Amino acid sequence: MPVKVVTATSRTAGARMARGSGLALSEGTPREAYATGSVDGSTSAAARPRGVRQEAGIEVYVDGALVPLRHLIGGITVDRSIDQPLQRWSFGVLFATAVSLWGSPWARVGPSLGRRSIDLVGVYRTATGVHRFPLITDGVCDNMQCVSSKEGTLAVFNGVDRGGRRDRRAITKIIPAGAGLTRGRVVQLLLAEAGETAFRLEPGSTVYKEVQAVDTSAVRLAQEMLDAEGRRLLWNREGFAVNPRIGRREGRPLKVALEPRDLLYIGTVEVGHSGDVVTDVTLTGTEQVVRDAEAAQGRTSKVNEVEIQAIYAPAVASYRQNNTTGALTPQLGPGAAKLRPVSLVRNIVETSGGVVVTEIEEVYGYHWVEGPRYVYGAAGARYPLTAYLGEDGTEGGSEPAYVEMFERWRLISRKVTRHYYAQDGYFGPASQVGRTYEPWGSRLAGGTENSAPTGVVMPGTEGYKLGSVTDYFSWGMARRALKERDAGVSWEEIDPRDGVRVNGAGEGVVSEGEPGVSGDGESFRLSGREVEIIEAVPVTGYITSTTVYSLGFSLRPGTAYWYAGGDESAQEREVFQLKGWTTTAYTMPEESGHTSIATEWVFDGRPQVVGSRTERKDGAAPAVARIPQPGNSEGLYESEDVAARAMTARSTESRQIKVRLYCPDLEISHEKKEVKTSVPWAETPEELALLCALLVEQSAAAPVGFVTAANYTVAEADWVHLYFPPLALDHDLEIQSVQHGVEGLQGPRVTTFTANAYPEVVYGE
Amino acid sequence: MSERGGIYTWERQPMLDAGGYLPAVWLDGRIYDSWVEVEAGGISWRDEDGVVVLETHAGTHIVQVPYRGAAAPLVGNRKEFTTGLTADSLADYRHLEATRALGRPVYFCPGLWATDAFPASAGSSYTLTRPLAAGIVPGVSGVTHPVFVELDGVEDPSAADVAGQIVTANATGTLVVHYLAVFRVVILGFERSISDGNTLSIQLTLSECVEGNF
Repeated sequence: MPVKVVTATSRTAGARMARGSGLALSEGTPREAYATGSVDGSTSAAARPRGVRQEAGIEVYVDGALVPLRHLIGGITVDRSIDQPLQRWSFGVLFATAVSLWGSPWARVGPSLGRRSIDLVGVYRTATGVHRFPLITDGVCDNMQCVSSKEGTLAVFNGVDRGGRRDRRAITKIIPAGAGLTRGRVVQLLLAEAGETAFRLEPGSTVYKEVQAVDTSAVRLAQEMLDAEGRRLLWNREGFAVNPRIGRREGRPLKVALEPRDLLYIGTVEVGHSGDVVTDVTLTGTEQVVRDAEAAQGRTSKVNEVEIQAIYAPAVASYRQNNTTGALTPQLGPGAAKLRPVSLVRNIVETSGGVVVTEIEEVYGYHWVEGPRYVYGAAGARYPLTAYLGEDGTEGGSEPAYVEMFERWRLISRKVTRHYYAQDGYFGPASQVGRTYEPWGSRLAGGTENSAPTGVVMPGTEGYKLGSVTDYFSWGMARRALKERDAGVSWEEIDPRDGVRVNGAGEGVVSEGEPGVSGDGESFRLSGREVEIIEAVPVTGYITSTTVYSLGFSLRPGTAYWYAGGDESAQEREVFQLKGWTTTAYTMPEESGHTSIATEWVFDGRPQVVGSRTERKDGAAPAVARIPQPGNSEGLYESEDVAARAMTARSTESRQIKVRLYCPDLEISHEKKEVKTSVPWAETPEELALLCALLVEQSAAAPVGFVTAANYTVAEADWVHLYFPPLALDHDLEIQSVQHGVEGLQGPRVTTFTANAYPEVVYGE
Repeated sequence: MSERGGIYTWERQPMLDAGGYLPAVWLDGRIYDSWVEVEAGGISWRDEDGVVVLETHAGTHIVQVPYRGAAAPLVGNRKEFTTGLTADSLADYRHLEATRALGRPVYFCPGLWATDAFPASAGSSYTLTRPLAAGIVPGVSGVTHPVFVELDGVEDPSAADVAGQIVTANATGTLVVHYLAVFRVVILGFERSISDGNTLSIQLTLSECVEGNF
């Protein structure tokens, strides 16, 4: 993959170095002029001294002012590695010097350096003057160790690089699905939210997945995303956020070529060859489904069906009940069972402008429509109705009765969910304001419980999901009261009402047809409804409460009517009405979590609380779903050309992707080692394939260690060439870590390297 | 004193045609005449720092010098002195004891010359490892004891201006400055012995403490 540099905010820190240094630097000189290898031939020779004398050391700057070398006691170290997100440094001064220069640690309640900006610079002095190479830029101190011994009273400062100023920042940032930004740009946006301004990020792959960071560490999330490309998030020596890909050189130049005469005997030269090599990798992930923005504007419908077949014989009536005598006349009865469809589940998803607005689930199967079996006449007498009975039917019995001779293939149930959003074309129905039994009022239409919608969406809530309505349809008959009374009369004294039909079990039922006429009985009707209402905070989108209203056939309490089973009610028959609701309230996001309080209500004419549960959970409160708004993309794109890559996508609409890489040639010398894992941020199968290869190569890498005289020109993630015949080394190496050390005035200035040599791996099909 | 062989006597300047000599040793603001007898105890001095030689895996060597600042000499040459004298003046002896008792660095001028080298750039300033004796030790001046300046191996008095501890280069190249120095020392070792009546001998170890704005 070609390496490109995304130009972003740059820093000219050279001016800081010039101030207070008293040396031959001009104000405003960009630090890069010293940082990119040899300014002149003398610095190359100084970094890799062959036959020349090397004069080298490390300088320390605090807030741009040089700490005079005469103040520095003991060692100075810089420790950089691609395996650690924050690079480390340390230096020591006399404790009294630290106090006089930067203040007492007691007064600062911490290290004397406080939040001051710390730079460490590698220095060579050659015939052409002093040359400086940044090693740590804009670092911050995280620890001060004060030690009194016979060697003196010292203060040793330890700290990290500029990344330490961003590492603990939690951010909230949402990048909608389909945005089409490069991964480097996404990382830049996340880090910018944490206050970073200096970037040199390679663009990387295109990201279509939604990025939802809510009270999350920007650095951690950025690294998780970069893992999908085999990249690391680091702050380089000049203080810029970078994202090098690890393991592939990809055309990057070799910084230096080293030979045995460059390697010091102070340290050994070591090469490790691991037998623990991955030979079979399977990576899984999901790929965001996207649609071209223009193509997605209309309504679409996607149908998915699942059919189940089984050995089955549809039910056929065994008897027909006579509506005068009640006698049973034998009928055909069920036939032979054979393999046939017994269930079909059909799911339909309808979208409008790429937004799912309707979800339908239909279940088809065999259903035998039940009906009433008896009817009450005058004085409580009970008479049979024409009806069909199953194999278990008996004369005058209590078995179920059916209105048809056999069960038929039909729609058994239907569930329809409609989603509503605060945007034209996506609003829901407005109920009559003030209707007691629809307490949500016109919320789904963008209004309130007590007022009609105004047509104006509250600023900051554009595209917010307002809620949903789920309707349940099934076969059934509403219950009907058997007895009716005036006040003061006992039920035992009252006969069932004339004309009330009952099913086989004696339950009064509402049946649409005329007595004795086939065709009445169960109807396929609306049997339940759930209305979800969502309240969320403008702009941030945190949900403050969700309420789910439940409606269905039910009875209000009362004493006027009596039902089989002993229920009493004020209503003569079950009515489709409000039964209750559950409200879940969320606190505003707290430092380390949120609290949800779920309260359950029943409504039988008046509301009553029947239960409450409080839960404390980690993380912020949930965020409301929303339709991406044009305004949401403000600041996302650097140019209109880039913005044109945006697609329409729904964050929950994705498809599974999976890639396997098998290396049979490796198994000639290695036991099989299989790795299976998921990569949540991978976007495409191609990304997974590259990551598979990187994983294999990383496991096969041979770590190399060596020590040279002070070399301030090579950093982690650089590539060098090492020729060392005693260990059969003649390889390009990727530097994994660099340690620069200065131990007192007379100690040697050395650089300790660890690097990886990547053997060529042959992949199978 | 011997006049045969050697380059160093208290009567002659080494390798110079002109210039005076120090008839005595100067320490902590006092001339010690008794040190004229120094040949009895002698004086020796050695460099305590300098280059580091690093051996490589090829059997070659890398010469390394710690960077001590852009104005510092190319190589540090901190000195450690060992010297002896016979106490033949009570005032001298007490002053010596007082110098040690105060435990602070003091200037020491045994009439020795020091040499510092710089990778000079015209117009830039550099710092000698220690100051010139001129202006500190009575009787020593730029006239009596002028510095000796070489540029790229050739004597060139105009190549640099030297005053106090500061060298201002007037030319670019490798600048070498030979100068009569005062050494800022602290008394590390103070050994006394009496082997015979009225023969109080003193052996001193003086360690140089380098100071400069490098």
